[in-house]
Amino acid sequence: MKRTHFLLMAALIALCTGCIKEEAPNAEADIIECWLEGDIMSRAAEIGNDTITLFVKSGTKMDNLAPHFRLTEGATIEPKSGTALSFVTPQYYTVTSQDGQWRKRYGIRITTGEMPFGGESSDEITEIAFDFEHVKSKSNYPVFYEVSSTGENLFDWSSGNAGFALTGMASSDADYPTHQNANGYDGACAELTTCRTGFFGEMSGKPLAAGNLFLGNFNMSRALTAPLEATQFGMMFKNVPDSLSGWINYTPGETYYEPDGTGKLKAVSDKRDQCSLYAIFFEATEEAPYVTGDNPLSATNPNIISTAELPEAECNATNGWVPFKIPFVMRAGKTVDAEKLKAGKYSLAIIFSSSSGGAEFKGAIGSRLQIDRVRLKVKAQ
Amino acid sequence: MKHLIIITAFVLAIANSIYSQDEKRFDFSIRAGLNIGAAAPASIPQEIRAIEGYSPNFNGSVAGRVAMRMGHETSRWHLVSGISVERKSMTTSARVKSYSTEIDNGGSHVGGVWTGMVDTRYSAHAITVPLMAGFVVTPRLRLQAGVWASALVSRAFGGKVYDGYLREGDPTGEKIVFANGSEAEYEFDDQLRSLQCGLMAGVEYRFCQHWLIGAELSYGLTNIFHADFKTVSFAMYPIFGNLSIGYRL
Repeated sequence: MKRTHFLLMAALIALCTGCIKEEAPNAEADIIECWLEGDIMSRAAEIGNDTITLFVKSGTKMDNLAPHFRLTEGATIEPKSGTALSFVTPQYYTVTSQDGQWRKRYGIRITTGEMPFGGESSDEITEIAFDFEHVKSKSNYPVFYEVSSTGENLFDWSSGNAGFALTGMASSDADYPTHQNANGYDGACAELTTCRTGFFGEMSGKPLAAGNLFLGNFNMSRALTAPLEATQFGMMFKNVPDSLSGWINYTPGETYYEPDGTGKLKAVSDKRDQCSLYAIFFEATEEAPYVTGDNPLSATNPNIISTAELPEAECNATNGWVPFKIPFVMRAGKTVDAEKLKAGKYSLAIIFSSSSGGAEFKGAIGSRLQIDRVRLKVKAQ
Repeated sequence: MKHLIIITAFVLAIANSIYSQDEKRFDFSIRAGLNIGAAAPASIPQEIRAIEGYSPNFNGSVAGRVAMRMGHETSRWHLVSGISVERKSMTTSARVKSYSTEIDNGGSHVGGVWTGMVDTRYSAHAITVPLMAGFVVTPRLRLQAGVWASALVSRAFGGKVYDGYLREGDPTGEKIVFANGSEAEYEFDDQLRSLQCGLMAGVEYRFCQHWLIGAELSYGLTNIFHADFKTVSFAMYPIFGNLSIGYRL
């Protein structure tokens, strides 16, 4: 490179737009929108970074559906947008970026939202079992998932693990706030631990991460901007929940902390951590498809139909495994509309956390909540 | 002395290019000046889409210079050296696309691809020694070029990213949006080299018996960062211009 160019640059650095090179082709390979044509979708698609769930009306035939896509500018997808495929089991698509350098594989699942039932059942009540035996590694962090009796992946539990991955603090599954412990009450269990988030967490004003596990989505794109809105609680649910029971083992951490306003943790004496365990049955509207982590049990949220909450007195140290059983309590003046229920307009959220103040980054480092053998009773149709 | 200057003027009037014999073997000067420039990549990487803001900051310099005539009395060549205390700093605001970055801190490691705004401030206080060959064009005008070395007594490199998004790991990773005032600060002071060296060239003009003005450009040949520093994926070099006024003793 000629010397004169250097000199010119030094002198004209502020006017250097002339030196700006031509823009590189896009390196990203995202599915931005995904839809099915015709009036068969029952609610908006849930689009994650590499998974998509499409909800269709009850009775839709799954063997011949053709999703359409809008991609990152210049990207291509295989199979092509509009290709009819059988979605009896999930289908996989590969998106290639405009610059040809990057590929992303998406799993696309199409569901009516009906849950399979296991466990005990009677004429009035049937039961859905969550045993936390299945965990997979996704982008290096653990994700719990449920399988049907035929072994197919029904849905994934969500957690804040994706956000914790960003802190660079975890080198193995067990380092994540939400992970599996092989020694549960019955087989393996879910284990939620409140962790420090280290340098990067402190830097972004999020010095602590409670272990959490919930039905819904963790929206990574909002994890920094609006962490309370990143936890999107709720999954389509076509039954009326009656009660939630199971086994927990809770050990609060030694010292309770709160953020000191500068992003660091300060110890609070005479305060013990508590876990939290609750469920929300609500109407998912276009404006509010989820309940977010920002005051999820709000008494004034008009969409909430019923809730089940573990009483505060039972959220302390358990000294070993203890059973819990909490009923869903209808909110005043609320009823379940059978038509809406069938059309998939209601959602259910189940939320576990190792620190009840986790949303505000309060809690005790090392608080540990183990959960196993959870049973959701629903009213038979 | 006065007649020598008259002779100089006379000689200049007759033949601008003929050098007078009045110069002393050494000439000393002190000078004060301003640096304007940047720590910048040798060529703007493709990831940088726009430079939306730049401030040269106020960078003072004070220097003592000595020029020694080389060879016989009519030689036009000088050897120029000295010492200066100076500040070289800047702040910039740039918009980048798919800018790859890795950050290590203690046990934490974060890597990703950033698209959005990056503000950068660079500041170094240095003691600099130049070594240049000077060519006397006329008794009042000297061109000079050579090398310089700086020892940095204070150094800072930092800034923030905002108004954009990070793709975790690579361009297909999870997308984390920074918006509505959320930003991440960075600081790599410890990653800056404490010694720099480079090339410089300039001109100085004596506009009366003792007073002179000088203009110089210095280009760093050493990356401002340590070689093993990977967070900023391209090397950056200090490129600064200096304007000074001096007094010849």
